[in-house]
Amino acid sequence: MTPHETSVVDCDAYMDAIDQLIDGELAGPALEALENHLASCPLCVALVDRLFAISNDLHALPQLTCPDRVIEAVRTHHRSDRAPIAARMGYAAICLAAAAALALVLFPWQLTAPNQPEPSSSAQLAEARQAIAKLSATLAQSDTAVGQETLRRGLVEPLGRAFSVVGKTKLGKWSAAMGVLIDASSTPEQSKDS
Amino acid sequence: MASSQAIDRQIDQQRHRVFTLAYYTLGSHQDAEDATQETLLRYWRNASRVAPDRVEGWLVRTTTNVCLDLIRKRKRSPETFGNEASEATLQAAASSSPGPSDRAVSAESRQQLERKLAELKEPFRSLLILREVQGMTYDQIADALELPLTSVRVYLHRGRRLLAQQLEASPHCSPTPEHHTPKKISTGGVRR
Repeated sequence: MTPHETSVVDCDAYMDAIDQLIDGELAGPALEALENHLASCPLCVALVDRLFAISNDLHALPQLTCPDRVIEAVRTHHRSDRAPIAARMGYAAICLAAAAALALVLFPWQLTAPNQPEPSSSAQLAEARQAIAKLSATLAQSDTAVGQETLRRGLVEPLGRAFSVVGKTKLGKWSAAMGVLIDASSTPEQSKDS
Repeated sequence: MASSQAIDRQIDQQRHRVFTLAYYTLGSHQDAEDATQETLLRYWRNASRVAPDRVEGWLVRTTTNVCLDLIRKRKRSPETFGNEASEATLQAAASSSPGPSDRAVSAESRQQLERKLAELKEPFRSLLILREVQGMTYDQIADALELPLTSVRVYLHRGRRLLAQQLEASPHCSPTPEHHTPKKISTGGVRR
């Protein structure tokens, strides 16, 4: 074989080197060996040219600009996306808070029975109602993470005080149990949020 | 946890990269917008679970998955790549083109390249886009697509050759001689 002749077997041995050359990672003796091969193999030269051209053409493809309407749509969707609130709070906490609120609505006579009122009960009933309002407001803020402390201070403790004032110990226990469940249902992520 | 403003800023910075990847994967401007929107929305919902130094990789992986879902859902390959496809790239490249006729040829070649690229199968297509179009390193690609580094190299090299084969039939690309012919070759002109 003359210096200007080569065979397919020789070419196969240089395929990896050609890929490395295109990647810009071929150096030293390996580069020298490939150059020697290319000096006698027009087909490998053509392949190298072709691969370089493709690499350059792809590199020349423009980076595109994302239309503003896409980002606006993302923001709009995110603002209207209220679902994560349930995940943040924990379904158990939401259900129990709703149950407590329902108890206040269903059994108002227990809180206002003629023989029961004590000097401070009406103030604490108002506190309990404020707590319900706080819960509603919190639920409406989808962007705000709700921690267990918020629920405890804003809802559980006021409800417990209100119920204990009117002597409904069962409801008082209910409220305490709700606090335990809120602790249990809060995830590490929620704790971080709070 | 990143604040809403920080996430919004992150999304604003990354949206062009996401859109470019989606466009060259799907071959359609409208589909790319849909995929970008879905990807960024997913990021917003999951930002608290993505470490700051993994955001780019997360977005690349999610964009690729969203695009593949779209392709599967619409039960079509990105062969609708056509006149619409080159519009965006034409606009982006118009200022750098030397003259009207050159621009026309260049635009056709580019459209052909985009079409052939979008027709490639995965993972060759994503790897070529990430490496050659978006200029990511092998390590970044391996990290983003959760592939071994050696696989990234092998797929990328194979992808380049597949694309070369597909472009050989293109009227705007000079044909490459068949390489592995079982015969001895005599060469005259020597390069390198």
